[in-house]
Amino acid sequence: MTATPLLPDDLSAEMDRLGNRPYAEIGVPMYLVLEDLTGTMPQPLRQAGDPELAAAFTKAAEQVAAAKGTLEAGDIARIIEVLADRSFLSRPFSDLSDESLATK
Amino acid sequence: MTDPATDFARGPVLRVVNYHNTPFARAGQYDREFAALAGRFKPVRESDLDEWLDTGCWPHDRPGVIPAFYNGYRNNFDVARPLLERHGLVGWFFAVTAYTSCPANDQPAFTSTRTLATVDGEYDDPRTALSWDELRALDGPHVVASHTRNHTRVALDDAARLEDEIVGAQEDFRRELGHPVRSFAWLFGGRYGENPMADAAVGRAGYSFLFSNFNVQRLPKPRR
Repeated sequence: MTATPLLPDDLSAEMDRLGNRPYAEIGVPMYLVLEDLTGTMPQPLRQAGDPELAAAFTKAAEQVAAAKGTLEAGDIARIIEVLADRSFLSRPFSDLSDESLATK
Repeated sequence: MTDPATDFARGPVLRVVNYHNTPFARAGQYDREFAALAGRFKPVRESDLDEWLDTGCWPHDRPGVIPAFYNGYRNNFDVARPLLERHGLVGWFFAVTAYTSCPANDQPAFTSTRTLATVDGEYDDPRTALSWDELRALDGPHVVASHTRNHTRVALDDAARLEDEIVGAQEDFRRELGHPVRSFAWLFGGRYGENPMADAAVGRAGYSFLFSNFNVQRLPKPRR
């Protein structure tokens, strides 16, 4: 899926790094889970879930909760952002915007 | 809030890249990003989400990605749109209808009283919102969606304001596009099922999909 490990060595530092970028002008990758509330979904979706992503999220959430003592909605969003940043492409998506910042 | 790990394991999992302003100064960055996304993913339309949920199968040979543009900024049309089209991607433009309807000279005051950041000095005139003509041009090649009427925080027990933000926005789309839009993103990422008053307004407006911080929910058919 990706050449980049899903979880960085220093998760907290990576969450801080991503959170300090200019969000109003950059693309921020995220995973969203599709949910059907119509009651018409005929069957369980085939090959729809991502167990590797789920496991990485669980591990990251445990790390953050252990460090902070709690896990807030903002932490969850930032963890998912880290995972998405590192798995959408073969290198971190944020590298593409960081290159622009470096040339300014 | 549901447990993300459980949700990821169950799926389906959508890839979304969230944008707001897309200033001219960063066009090269967006070009690289869209090229990289197009090399790996397929564009997504609302009909793809319907088919995925109806059949249990994602209808394409590669997974999809949604580049989502929030707030309805003019530079989305001028900068992001041509780059999306160069790379064969479908953008989802979540517009704020009163911002689009606001006269150009009044838009600086409109944005200054809301959480709408703008880029200084990009244009010779004060318009920073997508125009209705631009939204009509996006409607079809891309997905036009609703991000409320005013982009203001509303008390969740204020029925009149909820109606204005949720149903009123849809009325604006019906009038200007000639049809309702199917997707809605509530301010600050709230989910369907968290507030009965807001849910009822979403139902009256006739939206099919609700984008929130962690989910895209296909909504129950409205009761009439």
